[in-house]
Amino acid sequence: MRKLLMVWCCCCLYFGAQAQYGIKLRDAETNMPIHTATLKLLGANKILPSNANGEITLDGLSGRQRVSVAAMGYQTDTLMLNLPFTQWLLHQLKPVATQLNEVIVNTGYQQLPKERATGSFSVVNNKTFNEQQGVDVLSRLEGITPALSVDRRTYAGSIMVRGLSTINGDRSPLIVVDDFPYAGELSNLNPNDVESVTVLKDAAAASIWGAQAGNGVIVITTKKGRFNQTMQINVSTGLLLNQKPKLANYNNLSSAEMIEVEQFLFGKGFYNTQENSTARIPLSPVVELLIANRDGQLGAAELSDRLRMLSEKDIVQEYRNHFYGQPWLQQYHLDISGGNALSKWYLFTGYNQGKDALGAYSDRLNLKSDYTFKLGKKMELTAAAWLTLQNNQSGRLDFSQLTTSNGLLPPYTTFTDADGNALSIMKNYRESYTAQLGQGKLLDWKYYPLNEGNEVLSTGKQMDALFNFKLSYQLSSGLQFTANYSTQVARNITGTDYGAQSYYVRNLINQFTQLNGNEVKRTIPLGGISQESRVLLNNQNLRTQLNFKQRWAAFDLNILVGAEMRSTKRNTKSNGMYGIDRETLLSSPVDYQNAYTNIINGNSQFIPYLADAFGEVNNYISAYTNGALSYQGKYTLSGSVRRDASNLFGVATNNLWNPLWSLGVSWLATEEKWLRWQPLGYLRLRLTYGSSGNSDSRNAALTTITYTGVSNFTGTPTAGYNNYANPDLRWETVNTLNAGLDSKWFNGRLALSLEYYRKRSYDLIASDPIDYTGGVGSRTRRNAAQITASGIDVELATQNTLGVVKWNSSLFANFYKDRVDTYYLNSLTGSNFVNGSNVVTAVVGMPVYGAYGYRWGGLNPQTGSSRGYVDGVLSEDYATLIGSRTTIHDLAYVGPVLPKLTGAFANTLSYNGFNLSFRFSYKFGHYYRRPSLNYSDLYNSRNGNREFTQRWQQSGDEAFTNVPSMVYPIAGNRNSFYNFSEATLVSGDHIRLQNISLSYAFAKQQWKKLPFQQLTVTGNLNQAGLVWKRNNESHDPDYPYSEALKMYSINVQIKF
Amino acid sequence: MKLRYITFWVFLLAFSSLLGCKKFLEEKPRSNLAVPSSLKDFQALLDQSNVMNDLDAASGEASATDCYLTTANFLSRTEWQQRMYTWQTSEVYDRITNEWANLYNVVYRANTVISGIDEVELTTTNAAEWRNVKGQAHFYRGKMFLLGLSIWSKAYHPTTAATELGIPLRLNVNFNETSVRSSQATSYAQVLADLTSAAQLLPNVPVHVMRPSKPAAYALLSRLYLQMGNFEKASLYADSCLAIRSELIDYNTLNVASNFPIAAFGKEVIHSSMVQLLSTINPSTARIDPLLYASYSDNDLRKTVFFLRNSDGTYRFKGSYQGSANLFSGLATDEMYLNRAECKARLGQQELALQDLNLLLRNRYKTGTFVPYTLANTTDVLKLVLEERRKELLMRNLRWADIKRLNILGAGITLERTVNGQTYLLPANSPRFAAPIPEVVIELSGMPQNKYD
Repeated sequence: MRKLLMVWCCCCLYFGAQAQYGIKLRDAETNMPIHTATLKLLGANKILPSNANGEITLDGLSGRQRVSVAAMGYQTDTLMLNLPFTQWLLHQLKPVATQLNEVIVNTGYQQLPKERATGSFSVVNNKTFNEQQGVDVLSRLEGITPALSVDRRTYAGSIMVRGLSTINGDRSPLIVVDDFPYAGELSNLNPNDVESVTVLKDAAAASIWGAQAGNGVIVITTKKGRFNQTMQINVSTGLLLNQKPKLANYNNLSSAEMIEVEQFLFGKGFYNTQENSTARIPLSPVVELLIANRDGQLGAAELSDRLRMLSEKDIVQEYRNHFYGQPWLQQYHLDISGGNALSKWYLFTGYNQGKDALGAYSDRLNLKSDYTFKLGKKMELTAAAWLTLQNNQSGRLDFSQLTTSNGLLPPYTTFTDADGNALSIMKNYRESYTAQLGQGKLLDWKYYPLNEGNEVLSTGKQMDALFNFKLSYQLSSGLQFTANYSTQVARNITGTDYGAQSYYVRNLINQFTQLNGNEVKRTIPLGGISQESRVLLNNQNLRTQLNFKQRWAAFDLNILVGAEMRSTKRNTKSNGMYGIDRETLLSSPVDYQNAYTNIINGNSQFIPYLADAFGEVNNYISAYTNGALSYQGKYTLSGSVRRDASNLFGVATNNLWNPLWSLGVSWLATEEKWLRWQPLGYLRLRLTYGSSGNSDSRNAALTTITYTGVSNFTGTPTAGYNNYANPDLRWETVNTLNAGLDSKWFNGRLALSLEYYRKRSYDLIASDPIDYTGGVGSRTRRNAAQITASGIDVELATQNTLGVVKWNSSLFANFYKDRVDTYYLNSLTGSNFVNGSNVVTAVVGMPVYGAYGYRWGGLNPQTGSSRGYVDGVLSEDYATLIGSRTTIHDLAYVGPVLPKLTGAFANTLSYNGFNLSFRFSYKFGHYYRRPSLNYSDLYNSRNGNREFTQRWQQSGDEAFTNVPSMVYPIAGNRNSFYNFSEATLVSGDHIRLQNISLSYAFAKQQWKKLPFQQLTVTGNLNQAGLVWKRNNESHDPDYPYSEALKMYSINVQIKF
Repeated sequence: MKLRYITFWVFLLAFSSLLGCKKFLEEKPRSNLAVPSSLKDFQALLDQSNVMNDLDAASGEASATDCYLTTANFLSRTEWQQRMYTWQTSEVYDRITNEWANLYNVVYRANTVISGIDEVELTTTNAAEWRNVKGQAHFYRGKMFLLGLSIWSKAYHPTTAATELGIPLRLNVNFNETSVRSSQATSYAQVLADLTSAAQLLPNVPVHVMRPSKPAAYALLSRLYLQMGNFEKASLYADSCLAIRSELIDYNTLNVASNFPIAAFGKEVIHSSMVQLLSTINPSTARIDPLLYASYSDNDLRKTVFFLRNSDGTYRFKGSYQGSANLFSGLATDEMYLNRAECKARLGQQELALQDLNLLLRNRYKTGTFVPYTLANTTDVLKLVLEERRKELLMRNLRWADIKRLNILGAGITLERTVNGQTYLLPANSPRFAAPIPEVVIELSGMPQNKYD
């Protein structure tokens, strides 16, 4: 029925009187003739087969005839023909595997054509998904769908559905795989097993997932077989090569500059405290040289010589040379699928292995089988099983692990001597102290980072088995019953073996060594230390659902009613052993009961206890219903209601069953006779409204505590607070309005979809400063504001050329805006708003998260000190400038933190088997705080910033720099003022080339000798780089705290 | 047809069982999670010693002058520590993580127990534990309020206590309540009430000295009354404490060469706690006042047990009852002997005062060298007791409160510090003896700040 539309799209009809013409059937993808097709005259119940050339002649027929054309493995089309023909009609049948025109959205509860859904969905099809590279599913989604963005304001980027989520705190969306939320590690999924991804954006789409859907829902649909499909075999192999990290974010002073700073501080006596510290904290090599010089052990000439040698070193270069190898990753996959009238099946196997830049190894094996069969006409059974096995092993030390007990390694650190032997570097204690301690009775206490990676081996083994069963039974013609059950068992064993020679072991043994005259008592025995933890996950889902489908005259009614329960259990056990002998693997007992004197600082301490156990259970029950009524296929009215309950602690009972609902209407305008207008092929309008809440367990209504361990003193359990109940906290509700327009123009050559949405969040819960006299810390979660977020999503797809060279483009643009409608709180202190991208702006009418900074008055031309404004007058009174007298109204507002416009622009060019695609992505209209120089961090922990070079040094410098002069003693407030002033807020606008991919397909019809249907070779470059950015910073605006690494890959796919 | 009915019934059954599953929803989500409601939960909260015992407010010690910083060390401290060191009247704490917050965290824990324990049924089997847990909570609340009063409120005097500002008295777990400063009189009355309850409820012998006990409550009551200038009561409670715990360490038994000669939880310790180790009082930075060091006689073992000579000739403190660089701020028997001695001296019972003092000093001097004080060889017993108090209880977080209470009695102790070429003075009874409350707290609560003009 729905294929009637296709007639309109794909062919032109000619009229004439001669016979011997008919239809030529071709494969829509390969243009090969289809010789197994049949044509059915719907009026006459007559069936005509195609010949070897894919032709069906239509002799002796005339008038308007409705026919259906079918072939095994192809979609069946219904055509209206005006006979007789005057020439051959060319008609293309679409293979079942690529349903180009019809987009199916999978809500996790039902699959329905996008045309019939009132809600807002974004679907990523298989082709686009596979243009991306990467071994895990989520990393492939960035920039390819208008619905998802990645927020990297924090160190770990978090994926967000449709801009600002209403819920403060956890913003991660719900991930559903096939029918159920995925409880295991998402990295266990093999992207080659993914058929499509549906993102549910508005209330009507997501409400079916209830309270868990507050942050949006991503439904991942895996591949399956199809009924009546010939056997298909796909094989692929790929090689990915990552760029080695550049460590751009070390961003520290040059060696020469750091030496200069340390000499300056030494002259001020800054290191006196550290030199006398009872904790024996380490001093940098330069400071040690300066001390030796001061104490007369090192001549001035030799000192300057040694300093000059150090100033030529570069830790980043050294580290990259000694620690990084070429990262690589290989991927293989094989899938076989097929089906007949009664069953369909799909088998998948995938394997990948690789090493990262540090030489850490990982591999993953995926196996999957999916089998569906019909039992009679009414019953259908599906059984699917996944098995994932993962292994990984640690490599060399990561740069971030190379820290000392008092800050970063200095930039002149070297890891090898002139002969390439591993050198020791500064770590936890002063080497001159540890060297003399114990007069040789202790183990070597030096730290050799190059050897450490070999001595410490961390391994992980994961096993994840998932079984899905689905039964559907047709109770009557319109009523279907389905029951789904899934169970997942995952086991994750991680362990670390510290070799006897590792620093970790030597350090621990030494610390606990008790020296008494000549007697050496090691309370921790010699030998390795090993720790292991096992996590066992068991997740079970049960769902029963009734689907009711009925048609009365022009009305179509679809209703589903269901209930489900879900239970996730997670158990963790960890333990460890001391004194492991390398040969026999026997371990030795230690005394956990008594405290021992730490040989360094004399404090009493207990031997670390390595065993722990923990259990977690989350139970959910939900009931839901969802219905749609449509009239003549033109007007659709939909609605849904859902209630959830869970065993989350402390959710007050009146909130236990939190109802959520949505309503929607849609209108297929092009079905109206009066709107038949040639260029406009398809026009549909949608409108939905819905309400959702927040099931965040952190807003619990009861105070809860967490048991943390056993007291070493009393031998009894100890506990701390997990949640502080706030009786004044109200449930957060979010009402979402969504209006959408989908249209197709000029025979489908242009598709335009527009969406407008407005999310109004009442009682937005936000973290708010609280008087810590209350005893619950300095911030609490409160209903902070009512906010409105709105946006327009534009999606434009064009087929620019159709000839030999095919050129398709697609453009996404998401315009976004939000504002504070009402602010309930009264904290206006400016300092709360300057460092926070997660603090709700206290000013009505302004964006919810704003880039605010202290007003910047430039540098003092005489001293190079930063200046701000107090009561409109230039001031260097930093305590006032950053103190409570400065309210949010005194701050400079630079712009919103979230982009006003994000999107992507993608192009695909294909010519004769070649396929070139490239994708740009962009973000505009937002600001972020760039890393800047803080002298406290520089002095105390050698953590500087390259902009040190541009610091104010003499009068006149203030004309071209904002970096304050170096002063001593430390002026913490002066530093904070600069770090959080408007001078360090910069625009985040940028355009990047996300991906370029070039492929060539060898098809059988061209390369006759090919033993298979098609072979495709694809070369790909991901994260090709920035094309343009507005600011002048040296870092990527999207990665202020990390770096985007280029990824090259080559991939071969074979279709049998 | 038959199948159809079976399926239908299966469906109905499944559906109804879902809705009826109350137990399913009541399952405990995390094995280590609880709503604090049992004695075990309450005891576990009180036994988390890193919150309850390890972070006593230290700005009193940092403002007293038993130790000092060199200019270089002073300049390498943070701004707020420099301001505290020089008795400024604002911004003397980190804005967020500071001892005010630590102190009221303990109070909140105590309040969780006090307001929740009445829900636990008192039975014959749990009576001892029930009383013990409740007593501990009152002890900690009283202890913290008393410590807070010694820092943020002026010295107590009965005639002005009703009008002088005390501290906010948080007595329940509602953190949304606005903080209000109670008067000094109300504040001290609350401490008294808490400690009296504690003394009634607590057992004589705790599982470990990290837990409060009856003698600890008595000791704290003695400290309270001493601060209030009520010497009869202070003496009485010191007496009650010493009746249960009276042992002293003979310093002759200690290894003076050791890094930290006095072990943690020694036999003098009644309740163990330590101060937040600010770097202005950390023994690795802070040097001991040379006049104080000089006041020990050579036969006094404390001169070698307490002090370590630095390479530059100055001295650092190593006599902590924590057995480490951490500074002990708990309760010990030596303090009780000195409390009783001072009270007796003030109450005219000079002989009894000297008796206590002699007992203590006999354990501090090299064997055979100590000559007991008698009325005959002592002119001013009180002065002697106070001198010995200073020498015994240094770096114990007591000096600041002592200076305040002695000054209000007319001692006229003016503090002086010279650093970075500048001399700072803190005259006796200056309003700056009440430290400024953290500004953030004042902003958010609207409470009155201490006045300095």
